[in-house]
Amino acid sequence: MRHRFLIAAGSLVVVGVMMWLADAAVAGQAPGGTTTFKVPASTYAPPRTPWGDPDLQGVWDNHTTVPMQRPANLSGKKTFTDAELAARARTSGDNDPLCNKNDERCAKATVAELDRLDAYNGFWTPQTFVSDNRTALIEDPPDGRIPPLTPEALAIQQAYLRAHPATEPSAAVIEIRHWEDYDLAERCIAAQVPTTTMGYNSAQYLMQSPGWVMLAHERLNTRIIPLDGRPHLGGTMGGWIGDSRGHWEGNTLVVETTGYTNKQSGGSVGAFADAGIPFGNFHVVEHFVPVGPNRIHYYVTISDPQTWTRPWTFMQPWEKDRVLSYNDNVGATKAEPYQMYEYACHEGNNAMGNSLRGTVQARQRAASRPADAESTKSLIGKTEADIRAMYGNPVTIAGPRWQYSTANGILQFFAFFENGKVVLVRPDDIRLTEVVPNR
Amino acid sequence: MRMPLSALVVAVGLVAAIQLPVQTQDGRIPRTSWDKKPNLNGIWQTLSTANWDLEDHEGGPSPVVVTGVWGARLPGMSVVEGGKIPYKPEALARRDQNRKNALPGKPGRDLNADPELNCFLPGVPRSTYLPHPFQIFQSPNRMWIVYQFSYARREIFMNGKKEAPIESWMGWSNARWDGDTLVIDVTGLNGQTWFDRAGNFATEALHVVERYTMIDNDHIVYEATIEDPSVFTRPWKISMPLYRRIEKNVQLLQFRCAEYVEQFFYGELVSPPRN
Repeated sequence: MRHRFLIAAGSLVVVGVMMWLADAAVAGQAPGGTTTFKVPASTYAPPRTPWGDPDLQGVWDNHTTVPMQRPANLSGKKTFTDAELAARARTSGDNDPLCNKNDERCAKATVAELDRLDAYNGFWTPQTFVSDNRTALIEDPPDGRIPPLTPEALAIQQAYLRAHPATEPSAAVIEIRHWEDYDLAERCIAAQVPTTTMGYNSAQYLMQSPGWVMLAHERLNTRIIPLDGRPHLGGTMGGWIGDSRGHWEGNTLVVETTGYTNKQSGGSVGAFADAGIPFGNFHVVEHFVPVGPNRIHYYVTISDPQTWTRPWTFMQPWEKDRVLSYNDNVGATKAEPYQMYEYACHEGNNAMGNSLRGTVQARQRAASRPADAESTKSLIGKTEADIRAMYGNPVTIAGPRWQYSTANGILQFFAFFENGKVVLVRPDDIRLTEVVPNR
Repeated sequence: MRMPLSALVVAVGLVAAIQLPVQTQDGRIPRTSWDKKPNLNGIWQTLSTANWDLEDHEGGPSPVVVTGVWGARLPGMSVVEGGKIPYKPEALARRDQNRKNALPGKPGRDLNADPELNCFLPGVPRSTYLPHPFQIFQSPNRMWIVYQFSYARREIFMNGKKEAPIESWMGWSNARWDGDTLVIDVTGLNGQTWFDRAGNFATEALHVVERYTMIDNDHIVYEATIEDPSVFTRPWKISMPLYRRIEKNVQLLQFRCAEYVEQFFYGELVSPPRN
């Protein structure tokens, strides 16, 4: 059935399929295309645990801004020079505090700066990175690009994105109608394995005991990997994060993971596969390659002939026991060795219920949307005195932004001023009478 | 350390206390090669029904009638030394209110319900006696305990005393050896967990001291002393055996229950698809 579909798609594809099947037969490679890429051997011999395994224990961070795929404008360029890297480096501290009403930067902020809703993560995101001079994480294929999806996988992905439009990264409307419109990590279920960098809280504690390796990811995942050669569980018993088996090859830890569920709620933060890409058939091989006392090169090879036309490999450097500096929001810079804290995601997940309720509210509002003249949109152009006359003093002022409550107690109303006049309101489609006067 | 009979408070009802052997027989427990301490590495699980109720509890019908015997309450003897938890009178009223709120029986997330019902982290000591295995990882100067339930896990600090920098569901664990007993001192708990489904609780002032005493290759005696002066008239203690899971190829499996409560929490908030 699959071959019939491929033939219909074009003879070039048929030839390609037959070629890599032939290669597979001759070379004895894993099914689904071939590659000559070989993970380099370790260049560093770590000390040993008392039971004789290489000792890789500690808190490992992978924080990076190197993209997964090589950007088109850097095609053919594998690394940056030292000079190019220096030009790209930020000069600020590891994190910038959030603008708040105690911070004079708010008073100087422009309307556009305060209208941004993405200031939240700026506080949590460290600004220094594990050193890496490459232009892409992907090592194989050599062009640094993910191989094409098979037609079947593309069809599955497109069907998924049609059913869950909010999960598509460039979605114009982020509207959560169902809990599956959020990805795996935002549902607080799991992070995709293997995880790439997550922007913040991206570290993993690597713990060892005789016959076991345990990877406690800062967020959500704890992977327990037996080294005793026992068989895989089979089926989908590995669930969202798959079922892993490990062994040592010299100083390198090799972990093989299969048995993933196929529910496709991927594309999560730190995911290497986008939303809608089925991962029930993934065969993942990780190599943890020590290259220094505090540095591992972490290689991940993904094979899935039903999804990609050939296997591919990305690499991330990991650094152990980093010391991060941060601004404490009252003018001091502090340094702290990396300590992982509890990530009680589900316990504090108010976003899910709020998003779903917000969509219900928005649909109700859209159904009874007032005429412009009766809505807050009509406040544009009004002066500060006009607004005070209608609603009294604002509940909060942050620079050019005035805040009031609304009748439903959930939405807040914001009016943004420039040169003494309202230039922007949020939301702009509620009744004037829904804003609560603050007397 | 045998407890004299006179020290046991005789309570109404049955008490299941554990008497430790006078000395652990050194030859019967595995020891680490690096510090000769008991080797607690492995997968462990209790057989108690303490998760239903730390005190004596009879069996009973399911609170959700249509689940029949699947949801029926299991019987069990108290794991509390002395039988009863020594509540202050006003705190007992709150425990009884918890008991009524434990299972709301209607759709929607209810933060007054039993935190376990909501798949919230179980804290210490409840994570020990959930009906799920857990795995202890022990290496020189490091220890982790990973529980099958949700993503519950604890980093156990073996080197000196680190103060809890922040509150959390699973608390902050500092450990030391007292002879062959591992003593874990837990602070920084956030007061949002319960001890069981019967509403027994404490506040963020809770201080738990666990003792893990291996008595042979496949058994650890687990004791926990509970202290919270805002809730209890005095510290009190629970104890139960931990049994090694000895099946070949046994491992922790996935129990990511956040997914299992999505329909329960959000089923009534769903909007129809756009197209």
